[in-house]
Amino acid sequence: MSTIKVKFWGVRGSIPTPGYSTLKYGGNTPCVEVRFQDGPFFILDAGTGIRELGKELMQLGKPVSAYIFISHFHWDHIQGLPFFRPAHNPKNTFTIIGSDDTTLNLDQIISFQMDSTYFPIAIQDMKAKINFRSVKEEIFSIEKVHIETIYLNHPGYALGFKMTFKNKSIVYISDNEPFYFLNQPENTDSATLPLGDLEDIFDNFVENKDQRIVEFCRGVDLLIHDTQFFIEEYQKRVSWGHSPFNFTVDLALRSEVKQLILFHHDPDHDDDAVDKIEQMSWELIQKSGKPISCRAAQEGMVVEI
Amino acid sequence: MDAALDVLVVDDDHEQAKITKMLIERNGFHSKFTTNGQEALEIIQTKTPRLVILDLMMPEIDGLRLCKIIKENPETSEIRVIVYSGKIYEADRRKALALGADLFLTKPTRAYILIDAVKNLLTPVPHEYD
Repeated sequence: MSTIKVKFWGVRGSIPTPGYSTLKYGGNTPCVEVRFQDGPFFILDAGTGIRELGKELMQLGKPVSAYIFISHFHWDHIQGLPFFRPAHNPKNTFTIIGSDDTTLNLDQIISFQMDSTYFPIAIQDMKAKINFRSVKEEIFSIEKVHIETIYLNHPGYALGFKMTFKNKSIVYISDNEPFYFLNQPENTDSATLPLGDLEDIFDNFVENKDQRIVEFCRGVDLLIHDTQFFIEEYQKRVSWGHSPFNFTVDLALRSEVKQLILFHHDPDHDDDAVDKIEQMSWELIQKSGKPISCRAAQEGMVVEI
Repeated sequence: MDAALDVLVVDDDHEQAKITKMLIERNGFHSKFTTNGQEALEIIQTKTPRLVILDLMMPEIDGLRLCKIIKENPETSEIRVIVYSGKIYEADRRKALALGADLFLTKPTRAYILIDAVKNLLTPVPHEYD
C-alpha cells in the first residue's frame, strides 16, 4: 500500500451540479477520503460526496473510526453529513474537527444544521459515537499524523490542513482567494526603515499573507487547491473567496510542490470548461520548466503517494 | 513607571505591526505592538490601553474573539477598537461592528486615514453643556 491514499468523492464548489454536462468530473460538493498506511482514516469536508463514501463504508461492513475535518461551514462543505449513513451505526466513531465561530462552538454549528426545521434527525440521535475537536491555527498530531492548520482568505473563516505522515505530506485548501494577487509587496526590512519616510512606507506596505500560504505548502507531495475561476471570471468575482487557476499554479510553483490537484470546480463550469482550466494550468507549469504534475480533481479519482 | 499606553497594535505580521506602531508613536501617542493574540489579551488586562488596533486573522486568539472579550468585560469595554484587516468581506465588517468595534478599516489603507481615525477616537468629545 502507498503511504497515503487519497480518493475524491466530491470536487464541485458551492452547490451540487448533477447532470449531463458534469458527468466527467462529477457534481458532488467537497469530500476527500485520506487513508494513511497502518494509520488513521481522515475525511476532508462533508459535502454531498460523503454520502457515496458512506455507502461504500457500509458495504465493507466493518466498524469505522474516522476523523472528519471541516474546512468551514458553508453548505457545500457540510451538506452531506446528515446523509452519511455510517454516522447512524452505533459501532462507529467519528471525531469532527473544525473551528469555532466567534459566537458558536463547533458542536453547536454542526448541530444547528440538523435542527428539526431543516432535517428530521438531530445529531444527538445519530447512533455513532460523535466527538468534536475545535481547532484554530495550530499544530497537533493524530495517531502519528502531524497536522498543521492555517487561516485562508474566504468569507467568514476557512481553514487549510496540512497532513504529514512518514515523510509524505499533503495540503488541502478547498476555498481560498488571493489576499493581494494584483498587488504584490516589495520586501521591507524594518531594520533599515528611515523614520522620515514612515508615512510613505506605511502607505506602500502590503502585508503578505499569501506568502504564509506559500510557506505552508512548501515542498509537499500533494497540493489540493481551489481553482474555481478563469482569470476573466475572477476579475468580476473578487471577494467571493475563490482563486483563479493562474494564482493556484503560481502558488504551486512558488511552493515547489510535487503534485497539484485542481479543486472546487465552479458550478457553472461544464466538463469542457474544467478540461480547459486543466489544460491552461498545465501549460503554465510547462512554461515554468518545473516538474510538477497537475490534474483536475474528478469524482472517484485516486492519488497515491 | 511606564507611560500610560495609548494604542496597542495587534497584528501577526511583525513588519506591519511594527510600522503601524512607529507611525502612531510619531504622531504623539504612546504605543506598543504584539504579534500574538494571547499576549495582546495580557497587555489589555494589565495596561488598559485607550485604543486597540486589531488584525482579524491571528493564531491563538483571532481578532474578532479578542474584540468580543474587550467589549464584554466592563473593565475594558471603554477601550476603543479599530479592526484593521485585509479581509474585505462585508460579513466580517458587520460582525466586527456587531461585537462592538468602533471602526473597521480595510488593509491596506493610507497612513493619514489611520492616524485621523486614532486621533478622532482618542479625542474626548466635549459635552454639549460644558
